[in-house]
Amino acid sequence: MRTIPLALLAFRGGCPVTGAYLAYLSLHGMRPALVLAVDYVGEGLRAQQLRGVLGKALAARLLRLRRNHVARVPAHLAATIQQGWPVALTPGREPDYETAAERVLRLTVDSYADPRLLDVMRGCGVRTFLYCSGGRVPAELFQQDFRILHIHPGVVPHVRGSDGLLWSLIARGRLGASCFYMDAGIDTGRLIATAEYEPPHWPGLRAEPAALYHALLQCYDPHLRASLLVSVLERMSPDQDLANLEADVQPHANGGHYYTMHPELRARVLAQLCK
Amino acid sequence: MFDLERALYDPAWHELNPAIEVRMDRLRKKIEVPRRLYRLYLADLSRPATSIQLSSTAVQRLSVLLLKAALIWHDVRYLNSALKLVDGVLERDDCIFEEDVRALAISTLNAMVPATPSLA
Repeated sequence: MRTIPLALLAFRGGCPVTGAYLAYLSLHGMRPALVLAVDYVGEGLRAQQLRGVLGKALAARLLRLRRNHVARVPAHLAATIQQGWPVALTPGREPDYETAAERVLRLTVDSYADPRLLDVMRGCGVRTFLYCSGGRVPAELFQQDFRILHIHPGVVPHVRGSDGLLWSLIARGRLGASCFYMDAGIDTGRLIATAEYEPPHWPGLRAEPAALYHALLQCYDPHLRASLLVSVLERMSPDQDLANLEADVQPHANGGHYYTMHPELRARVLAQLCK
Repeated sequence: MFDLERALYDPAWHELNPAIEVRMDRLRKKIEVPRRLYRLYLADLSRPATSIQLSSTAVQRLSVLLLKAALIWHDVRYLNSALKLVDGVLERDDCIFEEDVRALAISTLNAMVPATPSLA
């Protein structure tokens, strides 16, 4: 098993992408040097109320369990939409980090902005992180001597922002993914690689649009991202520095960002996958 | 200063020339992220210049303009923002959309992303 000098920055609970990255790395004979497994409370009002009552550690743990519960996908739906992929993901079930990585560091924080997170990232001995969650990252994390990779479900600069998986179908007729070094903008960092994929089709699949949407995010999107990660890593020479991969400024593209897709529009895009 | 209320009654805006596109894109963001629309903004639309909200009538004119932009520029993102406006994303009790604006939104949706049989 080859150890890759990469740390997975995994915010625990309901995040399907970390499991996909670890499964694909293992399938290809690789493992990350580190998983930074972060329990977090979050900045939402209810999360903060829970923290006030239970304290940070217990609140973060309970919220993780809840996020994992919410992430679950009915087994038949998960199996149907993952047909043809080399591994089967089980949303809501966290990977065994100790088995999948050379080293695991566990940490409990309030949010991305918690200074303890930055301290651990600075001191962990790995210079390249792979950000496995969504949402915005504090700009301070980009002013350090480490770099953060991200894989976004859409080909940038054409499809930036939210719901990249579904917007890719409308904007480009295909699914896509992009690997870049994160910067303070949204999906604007220096671009390392992109990939596009034919859209899936599940003729006759019957599912509520909201359930299918959830299933796609939990157990289809992560396959695209993990495939691109493995492709990037396999193209590297053994002595190549992950923090200094060839990466280009993104070309200019008109338009701007995509935002969360309206439910009616989303239902129509999903219906096209099932006709 | 940019007077959004007035701009939405300006025929030049309804021609949707390329100069308008940049401002329309910024308005799209205001609908989707802060979900607030004000009458006055700084010239570059970076910040509101008043706390007075855009009038209900102007919000409806903006919805129609977004639908027109979606069709002319073949860009579903403008349709997305218009659908959200019509659905009440601004969370304003005074903003009741006329039935013909709602019908126009559905017609535009049907034209750009035709319905296929139900999934469920």
